[in-house]
Amino acid sequence: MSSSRRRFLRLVATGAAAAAVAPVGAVARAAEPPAKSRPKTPPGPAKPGAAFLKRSMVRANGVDLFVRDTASDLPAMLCLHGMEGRGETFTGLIARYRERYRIIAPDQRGHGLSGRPVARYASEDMAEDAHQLLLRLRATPAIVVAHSLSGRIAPVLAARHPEAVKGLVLLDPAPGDGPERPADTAPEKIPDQDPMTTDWPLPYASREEALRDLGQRFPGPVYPGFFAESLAETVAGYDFMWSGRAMAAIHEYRQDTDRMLPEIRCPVLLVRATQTQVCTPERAGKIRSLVRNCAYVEIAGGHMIYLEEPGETFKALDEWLART
Amino acid sequence: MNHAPLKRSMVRVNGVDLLVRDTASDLPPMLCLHGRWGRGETWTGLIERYRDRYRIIAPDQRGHGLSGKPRARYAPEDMAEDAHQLLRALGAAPAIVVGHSMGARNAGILAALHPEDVRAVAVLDCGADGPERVSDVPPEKIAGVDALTADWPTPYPTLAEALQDIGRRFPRPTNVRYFAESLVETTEGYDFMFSRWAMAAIETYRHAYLDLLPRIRCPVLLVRGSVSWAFSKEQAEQMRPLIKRLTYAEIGDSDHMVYVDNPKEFDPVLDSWLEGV
Repeated sequence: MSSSRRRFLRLVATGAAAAAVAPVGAVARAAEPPAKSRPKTPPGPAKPGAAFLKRSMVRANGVDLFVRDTASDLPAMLCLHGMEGRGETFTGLIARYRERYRIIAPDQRGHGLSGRPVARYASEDMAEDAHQLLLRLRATPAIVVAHSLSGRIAPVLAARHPEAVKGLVLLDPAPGDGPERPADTAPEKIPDQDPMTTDWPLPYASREEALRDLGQRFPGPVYPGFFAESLAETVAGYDFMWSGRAMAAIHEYRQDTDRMLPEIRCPVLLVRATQTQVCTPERAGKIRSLVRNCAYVEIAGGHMIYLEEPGETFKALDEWLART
Repeated sequence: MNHAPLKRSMVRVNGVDLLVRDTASDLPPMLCLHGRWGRGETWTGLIERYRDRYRIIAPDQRGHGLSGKPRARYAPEDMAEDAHQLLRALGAAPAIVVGHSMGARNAGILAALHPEDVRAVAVLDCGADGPERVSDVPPEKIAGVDALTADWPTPYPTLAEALQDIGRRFPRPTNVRYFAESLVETTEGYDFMFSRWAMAAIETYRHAYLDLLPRIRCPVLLVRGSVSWAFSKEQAEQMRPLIKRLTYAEIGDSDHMVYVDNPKEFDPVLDSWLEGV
């Protein structure tokens, strides 16, 4: 395993996490069926079809959140990405469940196109973002699907706002232990540097170089694609959209969220990825012992379980949704 | 092979800020000029292939990508002047100039007007015909957007929809990639970086330069895609007798994106021409 990958997983295990889809560059290169020549008259505009996603900025809890929303009348499902992630990571999940649920996938504070306030980034703050987002979108009660870092955020949301959460899915959740209260560090004292990328050669001069570097740090297709969703071109080069200060702040303001678990009244599905040490068997045992109504599934795969093993993950989700 | 990263910088020339990719080596310079709606990114494959032999410079031309988009004239002379001043600013003259489509017209005119700047010029899939005179319409009188993209449903809600829509319009993956290089995510969705007004201005100011072809003294490589929608055999025949030191090649099974549609045929053509330059 590369040192970057070890470091990422350690950061995940100690304070945060992630989630993803194909790199933009790779998508752009996806083969289309060859044809004889360009049509003389381009066909008319594409209509918003089955893949339609409403994109909008929604102000919640004092932060502008960039939100993807299938905007249907179906029961709501809120998807919360992991650390250094974006709502894009749920593209596969959206395609799979959009016929059954109204799917809402924000970039959380500090990530993607959302606001990056110099503020606290404790789980309770990000849970309040999600709560207010659901209210603003009139999407309560919702099923909440949470990966990694959001496995600490979503339990706070479910415990504090039981009326907003109908069911909770924890996908390989990050550990939820920590100080009882978040540190009282002043946000402006936190360095604007993501601890994960300290020695990364940012900005990259081209998308190719970015993907090559990510590929060397994280073997396999999943992680490079996940991080590539946050790549944005600037005049100086390609850099990540997430705020370095926000990533540092997520670590800094870590708090004990496990103590919220007994207060959760809705059904919970816990999915543990067995080929990684983010959610250890001990941690899974702790969650199951503290949550009243906890279904449990183990899937052989890595931390990005919904991307690495989408079939198994969706199967577990389907069975749980059918019972819930 | 490990290379120093591409250098990216904004260079102000001819009153316009140009975003420039530059391998910034001490090798002989090669300037690459993309076509309309394009970006310097389109030369990524060429950069990889030739960066050990040339210092490669690939700007986003005015109106495109991250470069300035002035409400100004976009005649090929104006864009050739941008290129001329860029080569001077970078200390990269004389250079081999490779141009595609609109960029080929700019390159041909640069070679005719500034022979001291151009060691050799590759004109990829673009004719020299058009209106006889450059339009004297002032920029502020040009209205609207370019005809090609006027009815494209931008911004696209997702990247996938953007690629699907472009794919419906242009069936070759090389075309899809070409346009995708200008896609940028905004909070409203994915939109193109090029100025649609500038794209219309380029069309307005396009004109014939057949009369300038005999003034090109350096070696010229003229390449046509065998099934190009943009550059016909007749247009090529019109140009060939007017160019003194001409190498002409037709690439089989290639549409307009002649440098990427069929690299197996194109790469050796460019290689052997460069060897002779």
